[in-house]
Amino acid sequence: MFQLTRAYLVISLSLLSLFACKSYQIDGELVSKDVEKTLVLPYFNETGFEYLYSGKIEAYGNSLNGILVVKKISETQKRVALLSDFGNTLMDFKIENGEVEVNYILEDLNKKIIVKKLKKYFELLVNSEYQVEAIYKKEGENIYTSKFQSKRVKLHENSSGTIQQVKQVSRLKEKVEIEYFSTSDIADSIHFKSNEIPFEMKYYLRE
Amino acid sequence: MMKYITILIISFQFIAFSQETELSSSEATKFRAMVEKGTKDLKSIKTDFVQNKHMEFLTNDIESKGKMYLSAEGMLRWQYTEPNKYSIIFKNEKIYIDDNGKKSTVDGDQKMFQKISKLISGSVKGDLFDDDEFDIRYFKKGDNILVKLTPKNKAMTKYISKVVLTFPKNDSTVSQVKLIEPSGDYTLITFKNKQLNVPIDKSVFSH
Repeated sequence: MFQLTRAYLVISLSLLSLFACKSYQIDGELVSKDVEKTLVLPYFNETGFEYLYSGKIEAYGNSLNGILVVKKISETQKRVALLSDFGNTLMDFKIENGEVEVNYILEDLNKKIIVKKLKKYFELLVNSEYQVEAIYKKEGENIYTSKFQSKRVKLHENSSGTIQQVKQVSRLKEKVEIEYFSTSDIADSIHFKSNEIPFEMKYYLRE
Repeated sequence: MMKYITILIISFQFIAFSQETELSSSEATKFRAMVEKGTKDLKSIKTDFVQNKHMEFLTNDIESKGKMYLSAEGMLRWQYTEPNKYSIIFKNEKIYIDDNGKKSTVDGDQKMFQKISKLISGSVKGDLFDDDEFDIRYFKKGDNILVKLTPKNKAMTKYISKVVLTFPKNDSTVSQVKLIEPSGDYTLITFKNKQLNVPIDKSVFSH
C-alpha cells in the first residue's frame, strides 16, 4: 500500500512539474530544420575597425558609466574593453576560439561570479557567427535558431534582412536579450538585458 | 654628402631634445619651491582639456574634450563636452553627476573618483609633492620639467602605476598629466587655454 502511494506521488509530482514548467517554444512557423547555414552579424565583424561606444551598465542598483571598446584583431580574435569616462581601464578581455581570457580587470570587479558573467555576456554581445539549426517565420520575418555557449539562441531578422535582435534562451525561458539598432553594418546603439540577474547595458556609438 | 651631415645633425639635436636628464637634488628643491610659491596664492583655475586614452591594441587613441574648473575651496568641475556631454562635480565630499541632463548624486565613498579628483586638483595646483604618498623624481626634457610620481599606497597602485606631470619652463602649473596604469595603457590629459585666478561663477559648481 505504502509503495503504491509513493509511486502515485512520484508520478503526480512528475506530471505536475512537466505541465507547470512549459518548455520554451519558438513563436513562429517552422519553415525548415537541419539547415546548414552560417549567419554572420555585421556589428563587430570588420577586422581592424575600432568600435567605440559610450553608455552605461546598470547592475544590482549600481550604475557604471563609461566607454565600450571592441576590436576584431584577426579572424579568430576580438578584444573587448570597458573604460571609465576618465579613461581608466575597468576590464579588458581577449576572445579567441571560444575562450575568453582576462587581460585586465579592476580589482573591485575581480570576483569569480562577476568575471564569469561578464565573460559570458560580452562574448555573446560581440559574437558575429552563428550556425543555423532551424528557420521559423512570423509575420514575414525570419527567426533563426542556433546554439552559443551551449544554449539555444534565437536571431530575429527584420523584413530588410537585418538581424536586430538576439535572444539566448534556456529550456524554459529567455535568459538574455540583445537589440542592435542600426542603419548600416555598425550598430548606432545596443541594448543588452539579462533576465537571469539585474543587469542591463545601453551603449551609443561615439561620434 | 652635405645632405647626410645635415640629417645627422638634426637627428642629434632631436635626440638631445627628447632626452630626459634627472635634476640634481638642488635643482629639484629649487623647482619645487618655484611651484609651491606659484600655487600658494592660487585662487582658481579654468581650463580646457583634451583627454587621450592609449591602449596597446588600438591604432587610434580615444579622444574626449572638455573643461575643468577648480576653486580655492577645493571644488572641482570636470566637464566633458565632446563627444558626449557628461560632467562631474566634486564638492563637500560628494560627487554630483550630470549625464546629458540626467542628474544624480553619489556620496563620497567612490574611492576611485576621490583619488582622481585629488590627483587632478593636486597636480594642477602643485600640492601633489607628498613624499609620504609618492616616490618622486624630477627630470628635464627639452624646455619642460617632468615630475614622475610612483604611488607608495598599495590601494592606489592597483589603479595607477605612475603619474607623469609636465611643467612648461618657469610655469608653476602643469600642462599635461599622464596617468599610467599597471597594464602600461595610459590616459594623457593636456590642458589648453588655461586661465589662473579668474572669477568662476558659483553656478559652475551647482548641480
